[in-house]
Order: sequence, then structure tokens, then C-alpha cells
Amino acid sequence: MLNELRDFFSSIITNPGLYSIIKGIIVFVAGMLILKVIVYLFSKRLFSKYSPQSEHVMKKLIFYTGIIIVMLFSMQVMGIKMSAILGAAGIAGIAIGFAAQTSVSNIISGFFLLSEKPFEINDLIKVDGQLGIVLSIDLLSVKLRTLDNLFIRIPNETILKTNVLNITKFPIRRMNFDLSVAYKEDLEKVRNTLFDIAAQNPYCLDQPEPYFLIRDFKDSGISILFGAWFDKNDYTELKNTMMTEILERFKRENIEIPFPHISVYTGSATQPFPFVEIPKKTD
Amino acid sequence: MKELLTITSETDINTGKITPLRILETRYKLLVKDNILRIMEKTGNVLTEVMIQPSSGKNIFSVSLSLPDSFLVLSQIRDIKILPGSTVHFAINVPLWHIFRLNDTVVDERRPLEMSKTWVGDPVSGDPAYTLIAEPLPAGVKSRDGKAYTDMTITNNSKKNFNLKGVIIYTQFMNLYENEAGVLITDRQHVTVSHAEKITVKLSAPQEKKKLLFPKRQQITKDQLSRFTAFLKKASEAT
Repeated sequence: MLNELRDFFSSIITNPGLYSIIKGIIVFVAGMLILKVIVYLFSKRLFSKYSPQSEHVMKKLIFYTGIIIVMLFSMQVMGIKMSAILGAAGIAGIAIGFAAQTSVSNIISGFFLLSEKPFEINDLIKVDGQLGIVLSIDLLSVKLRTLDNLFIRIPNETILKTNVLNITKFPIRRMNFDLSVAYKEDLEKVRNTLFDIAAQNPYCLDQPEPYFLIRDFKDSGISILFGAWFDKNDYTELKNTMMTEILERFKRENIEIPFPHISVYTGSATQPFPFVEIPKKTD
Repeated sequence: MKELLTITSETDINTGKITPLRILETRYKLLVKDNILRIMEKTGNVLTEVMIQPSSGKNIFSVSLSLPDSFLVLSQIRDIKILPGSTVHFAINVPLWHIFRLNDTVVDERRPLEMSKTWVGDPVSGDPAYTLIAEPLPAGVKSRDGKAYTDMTITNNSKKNFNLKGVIIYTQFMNLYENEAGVLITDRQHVTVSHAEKITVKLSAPQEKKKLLFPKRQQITKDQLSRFTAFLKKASEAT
């Protein structure tokens, strides 16, 4: 077996001299150093104009292409015949392909993700019920950091197959407030109050204008949707201030927010429900 | 624009001459104690505290006025319409931010006038802006109350009325100057509505003698220009 291997390697190496091997190693080390410098210079001078995602992809592309070139060049310097290597790689490729189906699928999915760009680094996304900030988009997986600082690794294949919600894709968003007011309330007054609250709130944008919709007549009250536009970075501030202001202002204006309740009548709405106390039996 | 001073104890901001910067003298004072710089209101209310490196030697503190960091969308109380074929000249008093620097690092930015945020563009792409509720003033009336004077000309060559509501003041692209009379002025803004209702906006430096106080924050892009004119047209048509 060993002899066969030795014969194989001696057949592909035409110049097995130690000098050639050392020369090849030096070329490889020097090539890697030059490659690192090239990637550094590109990231300093050129990539700064692009988004972190594009920078990440271009860096990796240059680095891996460079590694292949450096390796091929070093092997050539060592005197290794490339035709024999490529032939062996073909056979090995089939075997590896079967063994690494999942990885290959993830890599291909990764390429689709990079070209489609459904999200970028630092975007806030929701995948498969998981909400997090994108830390990196790699060949095999996407890494997320949840808002409570947990790390999640999601395979690229999963992302390609499931719905991805990108929360920070666009610069502004609309925050929807699902409200309910009692049937006795004047809806025009409710509308004006909500618009006034939005106008007073420093985080709420004047344009686009807030959205007001009377949604439904529910069991306990009238369901209303009120949407206020905001800068995507002001989410927490807007949510907290608007919720507080709506509650306080509704109290001040005597606008009732009803809670779920059921009224039970016995024939007439004006008569109280008859209640008779039954005396406890004594033996 | 920078008025430099070295602080060793509680001190007033002293610009040393009659200048628009006097507005800062009347509002703020400074105190350095235990390697902490305190920026205070005249009433003694502490606005912000900044740690100073003890080994860094002499610290230089500077205050300056600047135009707002976003565009201003005019939202005057009255509806003012410019009739077809007419040209109007008027002025708008633009509020200014107060910028505090320690050794060239911005440590605080005060906004004496709170303006509500708004958006120019659509929900997919656009620019942040502030809503400025202001009445247009007759051309030539110049304020000295810490605001800058923006001279505007609007020419309406179209067949429809043009409403001033929604006019954008391009503070991001304007320089801030001080003229010889000590009045703060900005670049002039010309809006022309063509016969075919195409809107063009041009900015030009004022013709009077002036010195540059605060340079424009950015250059306008084609994309922004088309967004602004579309917004202006929509705002004018809506009213």
C-alpha cells in the first residue's frame, strides 16, 4: 500500500528535489502575506464606500480566490503536475459531494442569499420565530445576536426555505396601535385626540401622516387601528411615549378604553337581575 | 466660527466682541471641577458633564452656531399661494443649533427650538427633515435673535397656484455667514416652477459682503434633488 502511494506521488512529482519544495513553501508564505496586505488595502481604501455586507463578501471573495492562486502557483514551483491533481480531485469530488450534501446545499443557498440580499449585516430580522441582529452572513450560515444578547446560528438553507422578515430594511416604519373605545364615545373626538397625540410626540413623523381606521364593532367596544410613522431607530422611544400619552390623554378626555365584559339581562335592561337569598337548611 | 477659551474655574462664555455669538454668552456658562467640564445654563441647571483627561494638558473649549442637521419643511400657519406668472421675495428665519466642542470633539449640541420630525420622500427611500412652523417675512427684515436669515425667491411660471406650504429649506446644503452688520445669513434659495410645472431649485451665495461661519454639511445628490422637487410638487398640489 505504502509502495503504491510512493509510486503515485513519484509519478506526479517530476522534480522531487528538496530545493523545489522549500522554494514552493517560500512562495506560499510570501503569497499569503501579499494576499493579506491586498485584502487590508482594499478594505481601507475601497471597501469603506460600500455597506458592511458588501465589504464582507468582497473580502472573502478576494481572500479565497487569492488562496487558490497562491496554492496553484506554489505547487507549480514545487514541480507538481497539475493534470494529475485535477484528475484525482474529480474522483475525490464525487465522494466528498455525497458526504457533504448538506454543506454544499448551505453553500449554494449562501450564494443565493448574497446575490438576492434580503438583509445585510446589522439589519434586525425575524427568521423562524427568532428575532435578532445580523452579525455575519457566511458561506454555511447566518449568525444572529438576539436583543437579549443570545447567539443564534441559522443554516443558509433554512433561511432560503422560510419567510424572512427584515424589520430595518426601510428607513422609516409605521407603528400600529390596536385600540378599543367604548360604544358611547364620539369617534371624531377619538380621531382628533390621537392625531394631536402624534403631533405632540417628538418621535412621530409629521409626514407621512398617521393612519386611522375604524376596524370593527367588537363585543366590548369599537376596534380602532392607529398607525404612526417613525424613524426606524426610534422604536423604543416612540412605543413607550405613545403608549403613556394615549393612556394619559384618554383619561383626561374621559375616553373609555373598555375591558372585555358581558352584560346579562333578564327581559329588561333597566331591571336588576333578580337575586333571592335562600336560607340555609338546618337539620 | 470658533471662539476659543481655556477654562480653569467657573466662567462665562465671553466672545469678546459684538457678534451673533453673543446669544451663547447670554445662555450658557462653564465650570471645570475635578476634571469634569460642566456646561450649564445661566440659571445653574447642568446640561451636560464631560470627563476631561487629566494628563492631556491644555483643553480648548469652543462654541459655535450651525444650521440644523436636517432639512426644514415649511409649515406656515396661513395658506399662502403664489399666483401664476408672479415672482415673490421673502425671508425665513431659520433656527440655529448651538455646538459645544472640547478639543475639536463635539461634546454637546443644543437645539433652542424643538421642531417635530418629518420625512421627505416615500417610505422606501427619503430624507429626514424637521417641520418649521414659520410665517414668511418681508424681504429685508433681518432678525438678530440668534436665528439666521434665509432669502427666498419663488417664481411661478405655471398656470396653477403654487402653495408655500411644503417648501423645503435646504439647510444641509447651505453655508452660514455673518454679514458686515453682524447679522447671520445663509445662502439664497431660488425656486422656479416652469410652464410645464417642473420645479427647479438653485442655491446661491448672498451678494453682500460676508464671512463664512459654518460650511454646508453636504453636497446635494441628483437622487435627493428629484425627491425634493417631487415632494414640493405633491405638497403644493395637495393644498
